[in-house]
Amino acid sequence: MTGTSAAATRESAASVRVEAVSKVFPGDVRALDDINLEADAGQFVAVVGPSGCGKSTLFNIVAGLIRPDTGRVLLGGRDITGTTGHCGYMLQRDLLLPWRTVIDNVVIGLDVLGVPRSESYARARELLQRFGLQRFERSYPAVLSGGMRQRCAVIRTILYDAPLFLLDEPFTALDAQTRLLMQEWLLEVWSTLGKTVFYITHDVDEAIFLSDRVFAMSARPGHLLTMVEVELERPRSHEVRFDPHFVGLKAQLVALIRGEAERALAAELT
Amino acid sequence: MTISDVEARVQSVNPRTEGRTSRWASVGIPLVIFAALILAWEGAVRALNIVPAILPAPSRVLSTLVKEHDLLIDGMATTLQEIVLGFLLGFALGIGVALGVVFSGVFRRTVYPLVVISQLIPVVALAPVLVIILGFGIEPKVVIVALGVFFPITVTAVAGLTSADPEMINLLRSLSASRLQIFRMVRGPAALPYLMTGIQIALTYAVTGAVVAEWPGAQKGLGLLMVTQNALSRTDIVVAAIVIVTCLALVMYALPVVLRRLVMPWERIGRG
Repeated sequence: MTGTSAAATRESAASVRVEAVSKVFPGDVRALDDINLEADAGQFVAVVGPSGCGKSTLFNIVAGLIRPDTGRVLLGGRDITGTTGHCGYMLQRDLLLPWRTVIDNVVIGLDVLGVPRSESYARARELLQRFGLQRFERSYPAVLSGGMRQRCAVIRTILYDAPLFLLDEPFTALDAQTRLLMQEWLLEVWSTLGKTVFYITHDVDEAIFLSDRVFAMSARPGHLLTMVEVELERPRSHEVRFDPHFVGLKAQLVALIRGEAERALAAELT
Repeated sequence: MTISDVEARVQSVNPRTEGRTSRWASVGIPLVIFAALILAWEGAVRALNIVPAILPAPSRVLSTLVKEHDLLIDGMATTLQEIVLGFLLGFALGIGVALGVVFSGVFRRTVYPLVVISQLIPVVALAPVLVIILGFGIEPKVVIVALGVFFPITVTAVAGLTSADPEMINLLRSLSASRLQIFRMVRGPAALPYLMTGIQIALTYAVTGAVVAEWPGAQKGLGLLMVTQNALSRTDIVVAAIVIVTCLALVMYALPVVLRRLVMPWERIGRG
């Protein structure tokens, strides 16, 4: 229970701007069309849209894994389009390496950076302890439950200590109850880290609950439908879902996205 | 937050106690059948008065194993040397080619087809030619073993090295990992189960390969012993040599199983 504050900071939070990003894949698949997003430093921002709206393409562009055809990505005012190493990256699948123990999995980002194990282990132990996983330090991921595995993935993301966290439907694969707990837990963790977060989801409820700002995307080719500011006080508990502001936002966004999903489905059927 | 309380349900590794009886049966029953076959062989040779030159009884083979142990151990040492050297050579070659195939498109298009064609050469037929070229020493045998080992190692290594989860590779890329780091942390470990299977196939082949390679001409070895003693109608020594070769093959088959447990400790857990 002792120890210093969480990870020593490599870089603090930074603002993120996605400017006029478009992407067409071979075969004239138009994935993204003129996307503009903005997150202030330390903000929690969600991108919500129907499945197949190019959310994951956007995610990979921000992570630097894919180059956009046009437009650019700015981090703290610096152009980082097509470069990597500036964000913690977490997907629906936990992507723990089965051949690494829990502790070796969570320090993988620090291994890549060349941080000595003595130092990375010390930082990892602190977080494992804090998140109730210290007993599994030397276990292989195969023995962990889904929620535990996802917490390991979160720890891995935190330890890499990038200025931006990119989370792509990280809790979608979990059962409903675990997912709600994980959302509250994530907010608690985030509040102590002060990182900028891009959270991608198709779940409107989740997007509003977590975020300061929600961007809604259309069906393919993905373009921006609207942006709403979530003016709910933090820290939030699950009761916030019954707040009139929450309910109003949800009704607005669900209607928009439902319309999009219907349009996409109709387009598929013709 | 009480999340750890909520799901303190760890799927523990369940010790498979119920599997124990069937496991005994799976070892015991083959042993009993094997013993019965040996006894039938012994009984038949005695009852029918078969001469040892035609078919030696198991008891005769056993006594030959003891009596001729100098000869047999001498032969085994040479054959084992051919197996080990040939395997190492073929393994190194196979890994080298696999890395080339995986990391170079040009290499994949130009060399890989040749690798496949090389497997169509009947290695046994090649043995006499290699004796002419390389002489009666162990060199041609090492080459023949290596040729046979090379292919399963190459194929399984290529399959293994390309088997890594692309999302895991993307994760590493997002962390700005170098190609070497991605190889060391993801591609390499992902290739291990494939490679272990390749090693197992290659090692069992290596035993047969070394013995057969000695037939057209050698100075020492179990294969040579089989040919020469067969000509002298010492069938008991031939069968004794076969017993030793079989035992070698068994060891070569078991070795990767042990190796697998040592190299891949994560495999044993979480298969419950």
